[in-house]
Amino acid sequence: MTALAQRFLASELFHNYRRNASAIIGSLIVLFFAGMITIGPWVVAQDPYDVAQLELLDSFKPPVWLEGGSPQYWLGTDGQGRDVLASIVYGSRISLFIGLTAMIGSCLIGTTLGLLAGFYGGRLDSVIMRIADIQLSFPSVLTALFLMSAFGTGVEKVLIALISVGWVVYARTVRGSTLRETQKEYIQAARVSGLPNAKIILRHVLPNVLTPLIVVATIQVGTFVLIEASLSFLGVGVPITKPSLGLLIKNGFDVLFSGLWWISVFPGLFIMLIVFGINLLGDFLRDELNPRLK
Amino acid sequence: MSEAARMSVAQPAPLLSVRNLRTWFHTFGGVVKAVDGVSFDVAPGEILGLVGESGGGKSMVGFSIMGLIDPPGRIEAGEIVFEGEDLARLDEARMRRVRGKRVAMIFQDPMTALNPLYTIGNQLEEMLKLHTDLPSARRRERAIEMLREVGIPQPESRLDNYPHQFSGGMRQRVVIAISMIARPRLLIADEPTTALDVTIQAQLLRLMKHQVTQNAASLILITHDLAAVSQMADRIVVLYCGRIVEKGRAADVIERPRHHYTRGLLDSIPHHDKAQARLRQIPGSVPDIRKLPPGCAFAPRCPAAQDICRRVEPELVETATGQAAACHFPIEATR
Amino acid sequence: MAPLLAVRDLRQRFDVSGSIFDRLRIRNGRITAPRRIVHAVNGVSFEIARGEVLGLVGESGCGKSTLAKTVIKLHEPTGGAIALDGEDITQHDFHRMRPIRKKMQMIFQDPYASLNPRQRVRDIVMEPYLENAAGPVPDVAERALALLAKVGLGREHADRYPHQFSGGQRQRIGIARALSVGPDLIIADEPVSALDVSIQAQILNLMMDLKDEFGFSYLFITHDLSVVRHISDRIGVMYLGFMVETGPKDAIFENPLHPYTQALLAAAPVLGTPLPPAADAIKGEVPSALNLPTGCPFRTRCPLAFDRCAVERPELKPVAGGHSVACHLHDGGIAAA
Repeated sequence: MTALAQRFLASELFHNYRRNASAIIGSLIVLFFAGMITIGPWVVAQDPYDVAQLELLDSFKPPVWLEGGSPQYWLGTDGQGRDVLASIVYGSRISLFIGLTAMIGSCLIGTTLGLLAGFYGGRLDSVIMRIADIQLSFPSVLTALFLMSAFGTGVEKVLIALISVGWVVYARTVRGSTLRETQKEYIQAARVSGLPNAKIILRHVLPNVLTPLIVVATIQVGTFVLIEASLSFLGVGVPITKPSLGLLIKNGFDVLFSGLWWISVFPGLFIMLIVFGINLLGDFLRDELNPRLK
Repeated sequence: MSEAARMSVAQPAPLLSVRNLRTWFHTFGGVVKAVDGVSFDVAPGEILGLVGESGGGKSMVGFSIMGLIDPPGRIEAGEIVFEGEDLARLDEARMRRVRGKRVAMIFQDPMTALNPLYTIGNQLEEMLKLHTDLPSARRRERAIEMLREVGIPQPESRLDNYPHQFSGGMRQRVVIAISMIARPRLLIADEPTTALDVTIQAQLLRLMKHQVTQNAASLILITHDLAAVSQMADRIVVLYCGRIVEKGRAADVIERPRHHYTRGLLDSIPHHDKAQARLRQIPGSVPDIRKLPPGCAFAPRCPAAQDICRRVEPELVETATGQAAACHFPIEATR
Repeated sequence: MAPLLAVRDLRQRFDVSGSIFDRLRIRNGRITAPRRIVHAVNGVSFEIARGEVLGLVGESGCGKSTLAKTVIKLHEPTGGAIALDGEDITQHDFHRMRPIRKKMQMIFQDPYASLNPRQRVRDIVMEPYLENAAGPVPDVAERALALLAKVGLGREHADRYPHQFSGGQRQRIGIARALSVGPDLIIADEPVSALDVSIQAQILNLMMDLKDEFGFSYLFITHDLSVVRHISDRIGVMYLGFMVETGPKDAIFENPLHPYTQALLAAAPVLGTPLPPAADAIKGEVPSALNLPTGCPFRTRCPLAFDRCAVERPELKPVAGGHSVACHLHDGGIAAA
């Protein structure tokens, strides 16, 4: 383990990382959010979904630095006396849970289909890639609307809506890499060795097509957080009982023009921050891991 | 013949004079001294062979002359005096007027040298537009003439074809036509026939030699193929790990190599006239150029290496015949 | 004794026309969908005896690589027959090929692309052996080290990844992989052409030492005449998917009969000799394998072609002492050249 850490610290990736301000900022932001969703709930004052902890008297309190603000609620409270900061911490957990789960689901499905399409080619390839084309022409909002109208709201429907579009990028990337790798002689060597196709795919092709996916996956989490926020803002996202950052914006939106701006602006800023951080990191990884740019 | 060759060596004003050239790349893993203190001259009308194995730095010499070294690489020191002008000191704008017009280069892969979106006629005429004051009416004529010279059948109609409509050998002919059309004084050919078949190779080498002689230009032929270079070159420069290990007249270097690396390279080529069961091989492999051993870079693989070779880097020492080897214990001409 | 490998009239064609939509053409007002067929190997026959090295030479596109890959069944043959050790393997499917894999292995051209960059060297060299082992192999580690030692690599190399090796060392790893199952025949597809000259000599020496030690045969594919002359017992010269001449090494080099062989030998650069004059060279380039010439495949470039060459395809016929040539000039068995 320490040997691995030493190798990483001596690697070119780490060397370049230390000289890249935006990569450092990006990873700090991502680390900050990682901390927030893991230990955040124990740091903030209240659980905004435990009705017993809410004080209706404290409703619509402005942030602490404004007139009437209370040091108990740094970023103010909403109409039910919920601490906005606590809501953001809990909301980030839901937003990032959805973003990460949908990314993992997309990655698994997309990689599998991309491997099959690229390795076997022919009719299977045509079928998979045509489905991918069709998927791309359906916006996720439309898919979500369709699912919601048929089955009602729910986190799993949001996930399905995101994954149904998200797998395509993996399938295309992996198919391209697979086509390139299977041309190489080590795949022929594996055939000459008598390996069955399943083993060739798992042992030889898969490990060699994964690197470009790291970049796709990183940036996709940010994209998914944004799409989920749009869906929730439109009312076809997560249910009221699981308020993500997007839903927090929607909840505060009704009173935004009465001067109670902090209820939706702060969650909005946090969405911006997380997507910004993820994209900074993703850009760095793309520059580092893409051999063609080197 | 030998007298004439010696005359050209002794000529006071060479066309190109490379002096103590150092082209280094500053990478994460350390400084790659791709070219490290290389000096040689090219006389007018001369064919110089630049040989060595991969990592020897021979291509980087060509790129340095052309001013095509990109970061992290850089010409650290040295002069590249071409027709009295130091190319290493020229800025990009002035270098662009030298490239193509006075010095041209041919690369290994003829496909990357041609723009797939333009007809070869466009590309030939573009060179004339950039580097000559030929009126546009004459340019097409000259392009046709040039294609005929490099042996492309039906040049009038082929002029309007795109690069992909030519076979590999024909493409390399087109590349030669483009590089020679502005009548440069020096042509640098970097492994020009390596990607091509033997029968095509011979045709192209002959064509290049003919073009260069006809235009009274000089040629630097960069290649790993000792046999091809021995057929083409007047003089040969052998590079190993970015340094010159041997230079001299082609016949001398091929028949009486003084450096053990040159000798090893020559011995590695299977010779059919000697019925041998095993090839003479150079042991080991080319060292990592970022971590060259002190002293002679070839010492770890050299059959004649002594203590001094591992401590002191040998200087190029010239003999009376103009053959020079960088070796503490050069092979004496006994054979 | 029966030959180790016997290839009879082997044919390999590839349909490169793509899907029906790629093929659609409108010609003379009619819609057609012509197929584009690459005739890569066109009826090639040869044999390799035990312990023998057969060198196949030819220029790019002559089908020598395709031939090699068809023999080892990386491609399914379009026609003809391949027999290894008397067993006809032409129609063998994946499962029936399994025992054959132990008898026939391959060494590849590109030392960079022929090793999986994510596998450790010990796993690379043992893969064919482990895949074909009948049961569990308790001594995997020792076997891997023994194999590496055979190709001149040490214990310290076993746990490294391919990118930590030079081209020559990688080729040694590829050779160890082929050796792991103890094959009778090794097909070597341009094994040294991607290597530096000094490393080429090392690898050729190693390959010959191993052959002497284990007694297997090579089918050695190369475009390099000096290499093929050094390593082969017999030589086959290929052109446009046809075998135009075969024979013992010395017969081919000292008494080449086919005009193509003669041109190839004349064009090859020889150290310290002047460039051959243009008169010796053959003109033009290899025709497309999509559209083979009628008659003799070489007639479009042949300086000696006559009427018969355009209408009748010459067959490979023996002339003398195991020397065969496919040329109408040598039809009557006249070997007095």
